Amino acid sequence: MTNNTGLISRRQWLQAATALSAIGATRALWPAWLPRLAFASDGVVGDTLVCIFLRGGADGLNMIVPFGDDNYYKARPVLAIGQPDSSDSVKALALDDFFGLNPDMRPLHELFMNGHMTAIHAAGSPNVSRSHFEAMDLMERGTNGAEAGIGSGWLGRHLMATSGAGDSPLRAIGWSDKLPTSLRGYVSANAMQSIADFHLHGDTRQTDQMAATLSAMYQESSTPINLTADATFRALDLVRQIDINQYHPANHARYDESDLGLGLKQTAALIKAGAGLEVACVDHGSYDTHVAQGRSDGLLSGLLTSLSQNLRAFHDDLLDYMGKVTVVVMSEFGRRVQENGGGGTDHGHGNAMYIISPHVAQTPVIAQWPGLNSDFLANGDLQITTDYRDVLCELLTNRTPNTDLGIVFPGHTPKSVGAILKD
Amino acid sequence: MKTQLSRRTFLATLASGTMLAASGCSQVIDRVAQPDLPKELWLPSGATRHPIAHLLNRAAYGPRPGQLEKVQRMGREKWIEHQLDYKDVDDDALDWRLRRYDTLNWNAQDLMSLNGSDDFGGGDKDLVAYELAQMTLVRAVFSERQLYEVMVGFWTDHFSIYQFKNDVLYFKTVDDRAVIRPHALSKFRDLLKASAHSPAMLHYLDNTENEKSHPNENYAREIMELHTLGVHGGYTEKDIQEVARCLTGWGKNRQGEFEYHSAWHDDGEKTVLGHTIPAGGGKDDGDQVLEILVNHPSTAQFVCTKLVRRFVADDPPQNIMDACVNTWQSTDGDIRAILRTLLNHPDFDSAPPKLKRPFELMVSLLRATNANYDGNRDMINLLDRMGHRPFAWATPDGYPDKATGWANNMLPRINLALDLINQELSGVKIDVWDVAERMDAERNAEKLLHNFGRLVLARDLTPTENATLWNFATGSSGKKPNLKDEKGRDQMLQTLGLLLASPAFQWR
Repeated sequence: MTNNTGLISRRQWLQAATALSAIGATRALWPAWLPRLAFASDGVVGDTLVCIFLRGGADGLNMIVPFGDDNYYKARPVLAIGQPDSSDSVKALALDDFFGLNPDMRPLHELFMNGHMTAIHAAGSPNVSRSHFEAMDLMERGTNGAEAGIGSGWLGRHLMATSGAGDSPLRAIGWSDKLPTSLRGYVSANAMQSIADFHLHGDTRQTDQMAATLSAMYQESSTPINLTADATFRALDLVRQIDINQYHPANHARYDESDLGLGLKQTAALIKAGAGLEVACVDHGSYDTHVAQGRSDGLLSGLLTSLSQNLRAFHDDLLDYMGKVTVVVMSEFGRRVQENGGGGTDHGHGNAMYIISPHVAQTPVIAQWPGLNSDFLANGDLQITTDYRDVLCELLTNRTPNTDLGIVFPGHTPKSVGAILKD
Repeated sequence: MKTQLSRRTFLATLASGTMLAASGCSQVIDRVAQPDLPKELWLPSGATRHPIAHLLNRAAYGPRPGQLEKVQRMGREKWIEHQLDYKDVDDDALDWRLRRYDTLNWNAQDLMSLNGSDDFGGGDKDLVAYELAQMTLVRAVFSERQLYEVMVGFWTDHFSIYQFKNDVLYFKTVDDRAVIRPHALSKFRDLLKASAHSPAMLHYLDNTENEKSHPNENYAREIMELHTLGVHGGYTEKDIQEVARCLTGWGKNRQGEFEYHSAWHDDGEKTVLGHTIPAGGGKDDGDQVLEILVNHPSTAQFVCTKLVRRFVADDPPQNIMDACVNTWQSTDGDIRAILRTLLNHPDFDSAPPKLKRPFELMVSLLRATNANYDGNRDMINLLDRMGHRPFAWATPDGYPDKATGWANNMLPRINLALDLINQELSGVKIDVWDVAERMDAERNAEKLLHNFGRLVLARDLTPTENATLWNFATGSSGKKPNLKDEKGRDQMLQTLGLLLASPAFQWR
């Protein structure tokens, strides 16, 4: 096994160099932006995990619409999405005989119906917090609050538990100005907004000497930022080889200009480049639709349109790679069943999670539906029948080499969900 | 009839601003307003940072050249008192710099009149949002009322309002002027009350939607979780619902001022944190809630924890916490008294390092190098990319104040220092050679490195810092840079840039 510090070994660099020269012979096959870095050896590393966090509490009830539950229509006289065969101008696209997809998510309908995407409904954290900050924080740290002193994130611990599987300085990226909480604890995770902007400024004739000088000072310092700085310098070295401006998505995939679109496009590029990317995190939102949520013309509609376009683009762009890529979409909580007086919805509890992968169960929606009858609600909210950690555990077990789920989700005994399979 | 800002007035305002800039007035003001440097800069030495530099890194946005000596001569306690009596601190030079901003004194109605005016496309909103952020940065860099500005920053985070939610930005400009600034060093009660009557806050946290038949709990929840008691401060979901009922009808009118809508108010009896609020109280219900929250022991604990975290350490030491909570209790939450306790505490000087957040890094860099900043938008865009644009944190918990929230993005921090030294920050000018002369180091490269190190770090360079930087300065030839020629001077500039980008300058 390689060392645990995440430092790249000389041997690994040489392997990368060898891989590069081997490709020289068939260079014509590879576009200029794509150095084919080949950091990870096949079979050791699992899927690249792409984690999309819908910030603000996305309204899962209007995304995966329970059109078969009358109480949904009673609770939402203004905001409800119509039944698939209704005369409503805004109606759900049937996923099965009970659930339908919000029409603004149409680009994903085909993925659901062809077994490339599944939704797990009435899922979420058993913690009862309705606070965005606490709920996001707990979910990203992978705890329900009972276990004190967990400062790191669940993905950070997953990367620590599998260190040695891959050794690229780009194992983990948060496409953001700041590292997401979920990646905390793994020092070599990098936060970056774009590959193109990721280079050292100053006197360009002396870039190497400057990087070496800074690197020496940061290594010398005993402060907690020296390790993150080290990761930054190693990533700089690698990123210098990638010309993202030359990247053209495959299969006519069209990302939009949002941070989500940019993040997914660059993730796709790094996956194709074989840069050793194991985890990428992208945020979307804000989904905190207390007012003016709307149906086909409100705040939620715009968000779902962008979300769906970009997810579909990512899937199509990576069509030949999806066997080794898993996308998971989650949010800190759902929204209250009853709509409020401002044309919106307040903080709720249960929600839907989403997985895109050819290895998902051939069921568009997985749910032990608790019902929306007031007798079955939790404080007016959708109950949670699937712990989000069960979904993530299944995903790590079946799609990554991680065998230590106890470290990732301390104190949690995972149950099978049947959402994603090994092969 | 209220005066509505007409398109003509707006254009005239714009034009006068443009003419001012075109005639070079702004540059003249910037030059005149730039702080004077002493002829000879006194430089601290020794292996550890000078204690006054520590004070200026916590109670101010970092020392300016010459400031250390000034504060030392005045005496640290006296300086603290002077800073607490901030209204007596002369800030004329800053006021001149602020005059260029159109929205400096606009009221909510003036600001709102820009809304929807299709003559100006999206530019009007940008103007309002940018100017408040620009003024904030200019004040942090140039104000002599440094402790006051640090506290304005603290309360801006504590009562965080995201400018870009709907039309919040029109009211946030007023909130900054009428809520945060007048009460930043007053009693916590007055600040909380002002904030609870702030159209910006009520709009941002949806209390403007909170009516009897459709209660909206957003503000009720956050006022307890984030502004007073803290998340584990001892309230229940039921308390949130009751506080929301008390606050029904607290909103704003068309002029963008606070207004209580009695028709929206739930006038039944409520119970908040064990206190019964009798039926029929009207607007007074909300006022009573604020009293209950201010007087709750969790509030002193929660706010003091955040203050000590800001000024002392990510994990607030218990003894300083206890001292601050005691002062809170004996002074009825007097913010000045609490700061006096905190900054004069015997353990203050030995506080562990705090990682500078991007805003603090930028401001301290500009101050340390006596940079002139013309107050433009580009620096705000840069802060945005570094994740720390003022008033742009989307959630009401405010920007994180612990190193863990910021330690993973080193490249932009490093590039900021390199860009500054290479005069590549738009609208920012530094004159290293002027500073070098005042340190008697403009002719000797080695001395320049040593003295610049003492100037910006308030201590001697460590042997490693010195060796590493000197190794870069001398390059592959190993020859000492000659400060008489352009190449030698540039090499030393790059070296000083690396010093500013080094780990030592990342901490305050």
